[in-house]
Amino acid sequence: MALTDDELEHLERLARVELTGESREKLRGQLERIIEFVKQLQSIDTTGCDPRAYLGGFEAALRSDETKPCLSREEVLGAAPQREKEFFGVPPVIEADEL
Amino acid sequence: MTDLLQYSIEGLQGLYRGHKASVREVMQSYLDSIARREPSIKAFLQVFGESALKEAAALDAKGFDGRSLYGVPMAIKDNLCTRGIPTTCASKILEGYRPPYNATVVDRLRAAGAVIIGKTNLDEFAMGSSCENSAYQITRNPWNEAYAPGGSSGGSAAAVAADMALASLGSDTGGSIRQPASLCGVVGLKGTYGRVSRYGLVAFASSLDQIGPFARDVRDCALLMEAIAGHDEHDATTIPEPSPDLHSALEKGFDGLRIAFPSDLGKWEMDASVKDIATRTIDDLARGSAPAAGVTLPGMEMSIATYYILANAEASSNLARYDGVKYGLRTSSKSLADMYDETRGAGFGEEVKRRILLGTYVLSSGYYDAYYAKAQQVKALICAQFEELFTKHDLILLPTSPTPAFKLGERLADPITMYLSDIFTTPANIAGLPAISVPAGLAPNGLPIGMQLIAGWGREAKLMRGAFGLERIYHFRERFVRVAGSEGGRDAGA
Repeated sequence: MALTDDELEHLERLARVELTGESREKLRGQLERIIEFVKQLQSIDTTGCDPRAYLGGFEAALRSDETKPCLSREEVLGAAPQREKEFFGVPPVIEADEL
Repeated sequence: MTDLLQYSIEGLQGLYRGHKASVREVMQSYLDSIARREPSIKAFLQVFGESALKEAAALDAKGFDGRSLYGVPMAIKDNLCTRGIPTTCASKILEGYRPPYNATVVDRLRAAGAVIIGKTNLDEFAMGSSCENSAYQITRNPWNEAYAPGGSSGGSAAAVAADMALASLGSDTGGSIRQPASLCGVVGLKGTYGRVSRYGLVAFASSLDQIGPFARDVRDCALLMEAIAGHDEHDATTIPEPSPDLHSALEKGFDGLRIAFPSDLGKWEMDASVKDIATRTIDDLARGSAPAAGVTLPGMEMSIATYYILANAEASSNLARYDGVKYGLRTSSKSLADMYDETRGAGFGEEVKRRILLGTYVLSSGYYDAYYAKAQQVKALICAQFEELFTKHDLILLPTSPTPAFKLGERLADPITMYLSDIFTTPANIAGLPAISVPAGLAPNGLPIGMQLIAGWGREAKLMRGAFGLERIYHFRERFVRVAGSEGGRDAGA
């Protein structure tokens, strides 16, 4: 199982993780071996197995739709690396030359 | 002055009740122990000496009030949120993060009277089996500092093994409580999925994660589980039933319980010392009141591959939240898209990236059915096989880890070898079953070996009885660990 450059780049883009230099090549080799390893499941006969099954069998818990006290805006924004008034601050989303 | 470090939870409370020791004195003994052992063990990411003494003084001022964990010095894994106190998950991406709320278990420990003495090291985001994936430090095994304590809750296991906390909490996604418990010679318990609230546990794989206790013995472990278990409106997956009384029936031990063991144990690669203890335990049970029956254990052949697909798929989704926007690390980047890529590239360690990428791969278009959906179906198969098995048996006995502790650095080069450390522990996570590791003996090199019990869904009471039964067979603490009133360590190396 070989991961091509295109495939690895596609994965990096999907996962929003930037890999660089040596660590990129090392991870590529390890990923190839791990994917090969987990492929063994494909030989197991799972005809009729519900992919949603789990033990216990409780139904999904519901609660009434009521407002309750929760974290304040200040508490939540307090940990942000950058804030603008009551918003999270981020670098430009659209470059000036795209406007 | 008696050695206050040697008392169990109930022992300590006897002292408090009889005014033979103050909580402050006990806390000081543990802080002194940390001062002695921590410089080389490095189990803690933070120690709260000052606040622990202050809380202890407040408990002393009020006097012993009968709460189940009154005055118990505890450590918690640093993936449990603590209000206003750094919670790092041993990752650079959460450096400096102070959560605005407490995990439910933190509130429950405090409500039961426990004092949190520190937060412990782990593999980054609980991904690992050795504690070597921490972005901050490597924790060493208190039994031999050249060896790993196991992981991912290695700091919590080492803290208890080195008498730096009387008990601790960890989290177990594929064995992260039981494996380090085995490698450090302490008891480690993972309850039924949904038994303990995950609210405020930084998510790794939400369908598998469970918080649970480390303790020196089964009785302490039962008390801790009772304190943290139970329904929580903040976690919709908690079991909406009262949690079972665990410690009052312990004395019954194995009486009337039907034990099974994997009859094909010989087929699995494991250290001779582990196989030897497993075989001796089965012989001991046969001579006693609970002969064990050989069975085929569900999921053994497929559990590791199933686990690594499901856990990493969930991780890739859960860890998407670390984007440099809401909290934690942010790199200075020129655009939003670059900021995401660069922050995550710089903030996550290698193992975490490896797992996010694998999880992304198995969920991606074109591969989803072959990997993720297939693993979900295999999970269904494993669940059905366990369900069938538990109609005829109450407990399954098997080793916790195929080997005693391994040397630091020994397994870092090959992730698959490291993943295989979890072969005996992942089936219980996949099926959501309660399981416990009990220290059983020492390998010839003097390192501890644990044996594991798995019980049916919701059957923690039977699990703890069995664990207590095992403890009475092994007498691990009396034989190998210094205890009050005995010379201790008398046949170490047996």
